[in-house]
Amino acid sequence: MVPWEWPARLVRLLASLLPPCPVRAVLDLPCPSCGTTRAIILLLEGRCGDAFLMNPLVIGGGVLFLGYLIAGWAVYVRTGQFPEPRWTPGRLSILRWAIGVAVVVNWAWLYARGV
Amino acid sequence: MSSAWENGTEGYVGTVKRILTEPAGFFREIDTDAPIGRAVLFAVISFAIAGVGQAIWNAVGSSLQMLPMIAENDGQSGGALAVAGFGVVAQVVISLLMPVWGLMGAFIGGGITHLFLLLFGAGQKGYMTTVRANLYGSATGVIYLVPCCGALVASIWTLVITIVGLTEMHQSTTGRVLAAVFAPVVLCCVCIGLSVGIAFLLGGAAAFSQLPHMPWR
Repeated sequence: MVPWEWPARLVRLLASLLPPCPVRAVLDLPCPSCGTTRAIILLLEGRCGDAFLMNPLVIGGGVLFLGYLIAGWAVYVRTGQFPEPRWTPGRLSILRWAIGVAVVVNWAWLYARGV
Repeated sequence: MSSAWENGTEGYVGTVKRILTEPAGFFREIDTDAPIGRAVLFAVISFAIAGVGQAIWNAVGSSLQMLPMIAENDGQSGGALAVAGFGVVAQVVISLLMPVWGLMGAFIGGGITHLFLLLFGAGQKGYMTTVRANLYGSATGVIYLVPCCGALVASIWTLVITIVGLTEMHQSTTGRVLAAVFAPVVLCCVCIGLSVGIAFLLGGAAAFSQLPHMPWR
């Protein structure tokens, strides 16, 4: 086993110990974050495209957030201030709508893909 | 104004005592614009202590589970024992890397919590303030040294401290903070979240029932 296979195998092992998704078990429907664990395993195996298709919202959002963290730390090291957006009431309203739409679209994607 | 730990006038032990016994007073003193370095240092120490506690009790528990195997096989199935022994070592190593997992959890979990705080109109003081609450919530690290129930008690107490920290530092209401903390588990229903959610529900119920009686209210 090569060293970079360890994280994927560890996550697979941990995932095998978890209970099944209760939403899927009861309703036979995916929950909004179904596929996240499988997507993370695919990401650790280097299959980025498959990981994104497994759950676009979580993987895409996670990549964007990690990018923000890395860029933010670079700015923090240089200036001593971590950059944060100013959330006016208008921007918060747009954020709420954007997240709502993204969750619904992603959920429909998961259902259509049979994740 | 800054907390005594953040301006270096109070040691680690005194700060842990304060956070565990009067969290609201502690978080009220924090300057949310101050650099986060001291909070990260506090969390690294706390997670390291928690990791040592977990490593010890994981090793003891796993070793006790192996004793019947050794007794039954009388030293003959060396392969199975080697695998079991490797599992014990792996658990110990993972526990000792707790500062790494803990910091990752504080920043990544803080991002999810902060997103929901924004959605519920409670994240006024920014993402780093949310992370700071998570970092100081690790003060329960010493409780992991208690056998059997230490980890469970520490998890619930961490939840309470984090909720108090978020409420005080973001100057929001307990209701909005509770909604932001529990919403990801309720809405997303991730398999991992189910296990975490059970702990959160227990902690939330404990927090709610204790809030009227706590000294800061």
